[in-house]
Formats: sequence, C-alpha cells, structure tokens
Amino acid sequence: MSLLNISNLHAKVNDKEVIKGLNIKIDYGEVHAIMGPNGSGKTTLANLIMGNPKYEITDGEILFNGKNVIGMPVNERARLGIFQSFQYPEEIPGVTVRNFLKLAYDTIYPDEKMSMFDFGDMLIKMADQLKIDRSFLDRNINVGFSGGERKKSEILQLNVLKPKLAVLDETDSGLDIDALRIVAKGINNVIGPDIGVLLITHYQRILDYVTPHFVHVFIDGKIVKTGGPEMAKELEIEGYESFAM
Amino acid sequence: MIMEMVMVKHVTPEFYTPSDYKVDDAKKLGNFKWRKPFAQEYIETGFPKWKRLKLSQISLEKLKPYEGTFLSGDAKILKTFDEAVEKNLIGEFSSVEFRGAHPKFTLMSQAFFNAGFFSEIKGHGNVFAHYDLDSNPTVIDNSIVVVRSGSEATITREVSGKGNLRVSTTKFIVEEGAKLKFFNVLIAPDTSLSVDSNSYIVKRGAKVEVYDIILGAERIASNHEFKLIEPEAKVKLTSAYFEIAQERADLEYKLIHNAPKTIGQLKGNGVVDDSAYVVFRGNIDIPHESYDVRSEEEGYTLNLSSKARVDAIPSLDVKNNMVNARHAASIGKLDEEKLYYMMSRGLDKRMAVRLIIEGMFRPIVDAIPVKSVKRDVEYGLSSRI
Amino acid sequence: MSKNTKTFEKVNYIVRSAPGFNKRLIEEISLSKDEPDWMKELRLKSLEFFLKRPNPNFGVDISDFDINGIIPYLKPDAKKSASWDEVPEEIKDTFEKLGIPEAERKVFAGVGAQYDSEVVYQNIKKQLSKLGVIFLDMESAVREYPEIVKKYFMHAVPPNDHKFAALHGAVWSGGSFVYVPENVEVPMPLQAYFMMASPGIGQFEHTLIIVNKGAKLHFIEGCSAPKYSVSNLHSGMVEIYVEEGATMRYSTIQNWSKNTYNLNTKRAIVGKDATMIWVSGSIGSAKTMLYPASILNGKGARAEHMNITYAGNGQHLDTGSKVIHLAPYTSSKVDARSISSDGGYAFYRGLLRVSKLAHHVKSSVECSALMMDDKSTSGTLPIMEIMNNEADIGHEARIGRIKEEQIYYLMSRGLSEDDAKALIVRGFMAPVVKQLPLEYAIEFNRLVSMNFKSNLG
Repeated sequence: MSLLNISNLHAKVNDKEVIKGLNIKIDYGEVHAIMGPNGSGKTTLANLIMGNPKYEITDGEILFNGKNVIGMPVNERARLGIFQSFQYPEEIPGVTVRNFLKLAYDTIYPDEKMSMFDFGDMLIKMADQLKIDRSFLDRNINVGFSGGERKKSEILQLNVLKPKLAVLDETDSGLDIDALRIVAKGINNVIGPDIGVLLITHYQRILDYVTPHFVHVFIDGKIVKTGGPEMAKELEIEGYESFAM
Repeated sequence: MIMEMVMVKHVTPEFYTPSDYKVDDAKKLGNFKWRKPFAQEYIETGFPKWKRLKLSQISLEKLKPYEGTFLSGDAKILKTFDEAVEKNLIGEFSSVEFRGAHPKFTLMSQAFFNAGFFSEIKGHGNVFAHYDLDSNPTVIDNSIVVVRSGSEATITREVSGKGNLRVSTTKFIVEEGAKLKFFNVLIAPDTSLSVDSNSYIVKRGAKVEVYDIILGAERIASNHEFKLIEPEAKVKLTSAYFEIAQERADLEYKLIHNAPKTIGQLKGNGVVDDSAYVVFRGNIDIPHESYDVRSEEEGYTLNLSSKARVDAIPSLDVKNNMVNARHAASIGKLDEEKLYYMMSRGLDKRMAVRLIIEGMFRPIVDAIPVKSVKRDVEYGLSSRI
Repeated sequence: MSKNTKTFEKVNYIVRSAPGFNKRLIEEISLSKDEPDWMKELRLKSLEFFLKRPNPNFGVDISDFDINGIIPYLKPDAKKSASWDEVPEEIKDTFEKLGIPEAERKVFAGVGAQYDSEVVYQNIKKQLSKLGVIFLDMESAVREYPEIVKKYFMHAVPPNDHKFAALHGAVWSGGSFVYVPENVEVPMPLQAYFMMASPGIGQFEHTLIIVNKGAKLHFIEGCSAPKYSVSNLHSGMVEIYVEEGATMRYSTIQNWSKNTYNLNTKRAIVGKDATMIWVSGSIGSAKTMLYPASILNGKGARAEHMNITYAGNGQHLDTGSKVIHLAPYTSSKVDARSISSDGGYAFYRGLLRVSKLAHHVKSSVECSALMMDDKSTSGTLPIMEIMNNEADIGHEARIGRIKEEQIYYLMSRGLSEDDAKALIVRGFMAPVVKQLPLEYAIEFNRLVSMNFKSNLG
C-alpha cells in the first residue's frame, strides 16, 4: 500500500477543468518532483491533496495510506499527516507563530501534551537550525513577512509538525541563493523513511539542493512523462514545449 | 407622570422668509400646469437651517427666464427642460424621487426652473451646458438625462460668474451596460449660494464616472446620490475643491449599493485656504441582500491656513458580510519636505506651492473634454492660489 | 464600607403617595444618603434638566424604555436584588462555563450580599493610606471629603450636558472616589469591584478620580462575568481629572446581562503633558451608548482610546470615542475594533475635534469591523472637525469578513473550523484585549471561544 495513490483524478475550478486524469503514486521515503509550466494546474493539485473546498473533484481517487480522503475536511487530513506549504500563505493578524504552532501541534499530536516551555525550546532549536531569527516566533503569522520569511516560516512549520506527506508548492520561488539553501536544508531535514515528499516547482534550481527520486513533467492537467533526477536537467535545456503533446 | 422616551428622528430645523417665491411666481416662467404641484409643495416647506453651512437667511431675486443660450451638443434628444415639458417628453422620468440636498431646493428646481435640459442618449452623445451667472444672477435648473442601454454619454456642465443664487436638480438614469461621464464644474466666487442635487440610477453593468469640481461660491451645498440598483453597476466619483476667503462648502456623496456585485469608489481631494470651511461627507450604504460589493472612500484635504476648517464625516453602514468596504481620510498642511525639495532646486515658495496644488488637480483638469471649460478651471485654480 | 448598609437600615421608610419621577423622589434619595445641601441642589437641578431635555437623536433606539420602570429601584427602601431563582438560566450557564466561584456568582447576579473581599480590601486600604491615596465609595466621599468632591463632582460632565447625564445627576448612587496626591504612583491597579457598597450592583454609580501632578493610577471597572440586574437601565458616570504630567489608565469590561440599556458617560480632562488611556471592552447589554471622552486642555496632553466591541444576537452596541484637542502639541490615538455576529449590530461613532488654538496636533483614528455573517450589521461614523492647519490627522476604517483562505490555511495545519474562526477573531481583537488586565483578557478570549463553540482555552 502506497502512502499516496492518486488515480484518474479530474477536477474543476470555477467550472473549468484543470486536472485532467492525473495518476501518481508516492511511497514513504520517496521524494517526487512535479515540474511544469505556469498555469498548468500544479498548485491545484496541491490544494486537491490537502482538500481545499474551492476545488471540485469530478472523478478519480486520492488514497492516503489506503484510505480515500476525497470529501474529508482539510483539518482532518492535516491530522492524518498531510501537509501543504503555500506559495502565498495567508496573514493572520494578532496570532503569533509560536501560539499558532503550539495549537496546531497539540491538535495533531493530542497525546504528547508537550508543555509550552518544552515546545518553545524545540521551536528555538529549529529556528536556529534554519537560521531563522528567534524574534520571528513572536511575530504575527505572515504579517509583514518578506517573501523569503514566508517561505522559511512554511518550512519551519513543516519541521515542527512532522507530517507523513509533505506537499511543497513553489517553495523555492522568489528566494535568493542564501535563502534557497536554508529552505533546502529545511526540506532535507525532514526527508527520511517516515515521510513522502512532493515538490512542486517551476524551476530546476531547488533540485540542485534536494535530490528527488522521481521527476514528473506536468503539462495541462496531467503527468506526461516520468523519469529520474536527470530529467530535470533535460527540462532545463529543452524547455517544457518539447514535452507537449 | 408618564415620560415618553421616544427616539427622535433627526430633523433639520427650518426657517421661512416673507420674500420667498409664491405659487404665482411660476406663472411667468411658462408651463405653469406642470410647475404648479411642485410650487404648492414648495411653499409648504421651509428652508433648512443647516448646522454646518449655517444657512439662516436667503436672498431671493425676481424670477426671470434665462437670457441667452446655455445648451449645445449632440444626442438623440436634447432640449431645454421647458421645451421638453411642452413636447411631453418628461413623462415617467420626473417621478424618480430623491431627497437631494434638501426638499426645499429640489422642489424649487422643479417649480421655478429657468434653465436645465432633457436629454436622451442613444449610441454616442455629448452635452454641454454652460450657465452664466454674470448675465443671469439667478439660475434655477432642472434636468433629466437618460442614457439608453449600451450607449455612451459625456455631459459637461459649467456654472460660472458672479451671481446671486444657483439651484440645480438633476436626475440621471443610466441603463444596462451604458456609460456616463459627467463633468460638473462650479466656478462662481462671490455668488451667495449654490445648491446642487444630483441623483443617479445605475443599472446592470452600467459605468458612471463623475467629476465634481468646485472652485467657489460663498456657500455651497453639493449632493450626489448614486443608487446602484442592479448587479455589476460601477460608480466612481472624484471630487476636487479649492475654497478660499470666507467660503463654506458642504459636500455630500452617497453610494447606495442596492444590488450585489456592485462597485463604488468615492475620492475627494481638495484645498482650503484663508477662513474657508469645507465639510466632506461620504456615505456608503450596503444593505443586507447585497453581497460581493466593493466600496471605498478616500479623502485628502490640504489645509493652507491656520484659520481654515475641514470636517470629514465618512460613514459606512454595512449589513452583509460578503463585502469589502473601507474609508480613509487625511487632513494636513503642505508637506514641508516636498517644499524644501522643490526650493532646493531653485523654485521660490509661491511657485512650489502652486506646482504642488496644480499637481493635485492636474489629472482631473486633463480629463475635462470641453476646451473652454478646461481653460476656465485652470484660470479659476490659478486665481485662487 | 458597611456604613451604607446601615444608612439604609436607618432610613428604611416606605413612600406611599408619591408615584412617578419627581422632586419628592429625588429629595428622598438625598435624604436617605444624609447628603449636604449642595448635593441635594445638584440633584434637583439635574432633575429639571432631565425633564426639559429632548432625547438624543442618534444612537440606539430607546423607544421601548419606560422611565417608570426604574422608579422602584431608586427608592431608599428598594429591593435591589432578585433571588437566585429569578436569575435567567442563560446567565447561570455562563457563570458555570466561566468557572466563576459560587460566592461570586451571586454577587454578579445581584442576589448575594457583598462578595467577601473585605479582608483584601482592608489590606489594600492600609497600603493606600500610607501613600496618602483616598479610595472610598462615593457616598462616604461626599460626607468625608466635601471640599474635594464639591470642586470636581459633575464639572467634567455638567448635568445639562445631555439627557442621561441629567438623569444620572438626579439619581446617582454608589460608585468610587479616588484621590491620588502629587507624584504618587499607585503600585497596584484599583478595582471598582471593591466598591460595591450596597447589595446588588450599582445602576447609577458615579466614579470620580483625581490624579494629581505627576501621579500615576490604573483603575479597573467592571469584570468580564455577566452582571445581572433587575432594573433594565444602567446609566453610570465616570469623571477623571488628570493633572500635569500625571498618567491615568482606565480599563473597563462592560458585560451587563442582555436585558439592559447601558447609557454611560465617561469623560477625562487631561492637563499639561498628562496621559489618559481608555481601554474598553463591551460585550454585554441589549443596547449600549458609550463614548469615553478625552478633553486635552493642557499643552502636550495625550490620549489613547482602545476599544473592542462584540455585538451578538439581539444586541445593538453603539460605542466610540470623543477626543477634543484644545491645546497645542496634544496627541491622540484611537484604535476601535468591533465584531458583529449572529444578528448583532456594532456601530462606531467618533468625534475628533481640533480647535483653532490647538496647533501641532497629531491624531490617528483607526476603526476596523469584522462581520461574522450576513445577519449582522456594522457601521462607522467617525466625525473629524479640524480647525487649523498645523495638524497631522489620519483616519482609516474598514469593514469586512474573515477570508475563506485564512480559515483554510489554519485548517490545513489541523485546526477545526470553529477553532480557526475563534483564533482569527481573537487575533483580530488581540491588540486591544492585550491591554486589558490579564485575567480579563483570558476571560474575554474564553467568551469568544464559547461563542464559536471552540475548545480553545
């Protein structure tokens, strides 16, 4: 049984079909990269796996650990261990990163009952590791964050919440080289036998730092070709057009 | 003893004056039958004692038909209001009711108008009305503009000169998918009172753009009420004012979003100097059934004098949560840094101030389609700086 | 403290033949309180104004309020409290959920005698008297410090200010008096809680606070548990004098039960280089009109108004602020936030006036309103009157809703929808709620969670 098994997925946004028969299988320990041009529906796919109610699935299955999650509310999927990092995460004024993450952690791991102090220590350790300034923890979620800070905040959350499946949407876009390294380190940190990672990206750049086991070319709502890490380089040289059918 | 604790409805106190117009005064203006019911209601109504405008007396001169011509343009129908009444063109349109600045003045327009026009626009239409207060010290106009479905209209109205009284009432009906641009220009320093009431009915997908440009009169009440009655109606009002000396102006703009998915924008930019006093009111009203409404209001007033006064009274009333409504206002003096910067480049202070103010008005002046009006506004502005 | 109760016992006679709201009733109130003549005169003068003044022509609809209804509660022998059985279930339920101790529940419900805080109070009193601070119930202050009280009482808000100020002047009863001498910093917040001198809870309490030159005080009024009263009008008054260089912070939680009209007047006169901070939370009552005012009449005076209003089902809360800049170099900052949910109506009404003489004024007014659903209503009307040009005035207001995307984001991290909403609302209120005393802030947040059926503590 795979960690994630999507078959023949069709979905609509605003009454327009965006995902047109998508299949993908991800197992524990694997890193998959989905690459494709802008507007091909990559972000939609992330939202479908997480369960954004804005999108309507018209056909197909999404099995998570063998269980069909279609129709399951987003927060329940989070509790099962699905994580989505957002390209443009929302601002939540008045709520600090620290309080928010503690709440989320307690909901996902209700039995741990970690104290605020222990949790704080853990946060600080991770922030230091990811070279995120500690003061960041007491700022309001994403309010006034720079593009890079938002990405780092998403990666910090990934590290804290330790999901089983991480769907990382354009985590590399708009980052300078130093920030990119930090974000990549944050991703490599979590990669291991207990997690499957789906990297969604437009550029090949991040794949210099995070090595995928599989690369999928995603064009117009479906995967048109699957290969090894070497395919990312090909794409960089040939462009997506050569894969269009 | 029983004490009644009843909520009092807000009532503007009124005053009467013996020199007020009588029903018979409407006779010599023609079309008496049409005017009579309005005149009868008019004499029952008192003048408002406006709190902020401080209207406590009013000087009324003898009523006379307008001397000269004031109307030009091309449209399917374009007639003076008198002609339109004679030819029975007004019909149902006169029944559109609205309060305007105050019923006394909207009734005055309908009972005692000596100017104004009726226009129906189909396809493209341009209307230009110019009222000259120098030769007609009392101008009372009553107008109706109908922009038919899918049509485009540009209306320019200029009131200029030194006179006594100007009272105006205008109704606009903008039908489905139609576009209206309206340039409303008042350059009447030393005229004792101008009261201008405008009502707009905006239907599905119609777009209305209004420029209210105000450069004086001793007392001014300007009132624009937009009713967005069908989805996708869109209104943008830009108000620009420059008041000096002892002038007082009470400007009221109201967006009533009576339908979902409507968009409204109020923008006010102005300057006050000397002992002038400007009140800027912007009201946004979003009733319960109107979802997906976007409405905003923004006001900036530059105050050049320590004796001038600016009141900003923005109001939002929202009964649906699927909306986005906001307002912002700022009132301040000339930015010293800006002045310093310009003067460091060699300009003297007067020049720098002039440039800053002209800059504020520039986009609006540039939009005015009639050359002579553009010139008058430019001249009116520079004579105030 | 128990002095009052005794007074009540002493003059416990019944008025037989004076129905209605008249001079005689007012004289009786005055007599029962053993007041000096000047106070009696002030009451009678106020009565005159009350009878003459028209109702306010703005704010909440008070048409179904009947003045005769409150008369029984004004009489010296009035039964000021209901029995526990009469207290509505809904209120009892809230006490339960908030975990209010048994003894205190009865005080908030207006059925118990004084909550047993006597010991605490005595300790505080000792500490205060060492500093020269006077902290008394208002009736005792009238008798014991007549010169000070006479000099300030209803001078910030004269009886002819508005109709309900006049009513208050005529029938006021209870409340607190605080006098802080020059350069004294009161080390702990003083709570009106200790001043519930009479059984039941004050409907017309008068709070008079004088903070002398360079002194510092934090005063806390009310508490976050709902207060139940048998009479349906609350018309209190707060007058504060902040002298040169002094700092005053006044925190309120208004949580009257939902059968109450809450028509309150609060005003501070702020002197040279002095600071006045109002922190107000309004969650209770059926209808509220409350606009704390700061009159900045000394050069360099400063005011800060922080306001949070939560209007739920059946409530119309018309709250706001009034800042009058009379002196140069004064500054003010207003941060008003409201939430309307489940058919509630929250309205912000504000006045900012900068007089001719007040040059170099800085002021910012910000209002934000969050609407939880399409049954609710929200409005803002901030009036600004700026009478000179050496002023830096900014204003912003917005009305909106929680974005779907925000809820989705929080839920994607595991929170339930209710928790996500509660968290967003709490975040929205946080900048103001943070200013409240900690235990109130916690209870305020808990009330929000309760409203969203959220389990967030």
